[in-house]
Amino acid sequence: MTGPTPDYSHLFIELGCVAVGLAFLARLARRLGLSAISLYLLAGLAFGNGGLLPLNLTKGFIQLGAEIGVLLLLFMLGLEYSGENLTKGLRMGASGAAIDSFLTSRQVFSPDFFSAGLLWPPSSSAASPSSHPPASLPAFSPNSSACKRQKRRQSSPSLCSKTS
Amino acid sequence: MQAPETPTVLSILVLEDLMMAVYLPLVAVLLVGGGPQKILVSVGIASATVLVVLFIATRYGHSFSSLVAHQSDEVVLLSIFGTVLLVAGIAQHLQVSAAIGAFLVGIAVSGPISEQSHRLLTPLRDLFAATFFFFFGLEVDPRTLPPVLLAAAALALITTASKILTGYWATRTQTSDRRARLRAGLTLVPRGEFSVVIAGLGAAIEPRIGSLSAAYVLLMAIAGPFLAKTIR
Repeated sequence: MTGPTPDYSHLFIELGCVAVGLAFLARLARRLGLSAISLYLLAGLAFGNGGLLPLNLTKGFIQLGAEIGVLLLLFMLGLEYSGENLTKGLRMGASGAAIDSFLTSRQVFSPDFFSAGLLWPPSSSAASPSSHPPASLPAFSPNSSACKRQKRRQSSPSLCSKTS
Repeated sequence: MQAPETPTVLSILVLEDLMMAVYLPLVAVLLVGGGPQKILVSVGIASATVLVVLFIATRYGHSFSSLVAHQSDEVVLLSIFGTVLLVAGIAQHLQVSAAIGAFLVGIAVSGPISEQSHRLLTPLRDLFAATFFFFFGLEVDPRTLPPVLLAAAALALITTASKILTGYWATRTQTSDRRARLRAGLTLVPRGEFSVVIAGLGAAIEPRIGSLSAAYVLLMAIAGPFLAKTIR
């Protein structure tokens, strides 16, 4: 090691505040029966770009953590598929999923989408619903399904709201 | 809940997740943009890569899993986490999204090690996923939300209606109870968490996607529990 150890105290304090704050929000979300994710988003809105109090010190760390978060979310999603689960689902839900995906995803693969290259002005998008690319996105809600499977495994559904 | 419609709803959700495996790399390529020819080539490469990896994952997943298997939690945690990052990085390098690489690793992991890594990685997932959603909020400027509110509300209406229809239709053979069939549809009404993940891919190119998605998630978070209560 060369040189003195940098002073991380501010970073630790900021990160600690973020984590404790998110824990509080998760608690609140459970009580209200909401998804904790929307509260996390709200907290982010409050502190980020144009928010009340910008977090500058730990942004790099949080950004890297966020990227890893996406990877882990998807890894855990893939993990849910074992042969039994998969074949059973394929047999039972093919028609339903096809309908749902069709209803929601044809909006993405509409010509509008290709020509606009996702750059749609809000005014025109309000006029024609078919030009909303993200209309299809909610078709894929692995988190909610993961929640159900998690409940079956009887582990703590931490990122899941108290639904049903 | 163990209503008659539950298995159907679950299988629809499973299949939707699967379709995302095809969908995610496509969107990632489309978001990068370019001429039609370039898009076709990139989509082709991405789809081929995904198919090859999917084949390897389903074919050799068992040998990979037994290679990694170990009674020590530490060994499994490090190998799985390392493999996820490694494959995601390579996938990103090949223009397939890193997220899809991680997803395919998840598919490849099977057998007893699947339960073990589920147990070991869930806390990590919770930590980093919370970070992700928080970070997503950080990146969106709240002042950009009001202009997209109308579009988000329209989206919420359309997707809610299509979900309810889907659930209602898919459970037609299981039960004749209209209430149960409606409930199946409502279970499908997403809370939109995952749209945030996908929007994260596009937010770098078009910031309004981020705002729209944030507005949508917030609207659905408010509407979801309300809808669930009204149906009971």
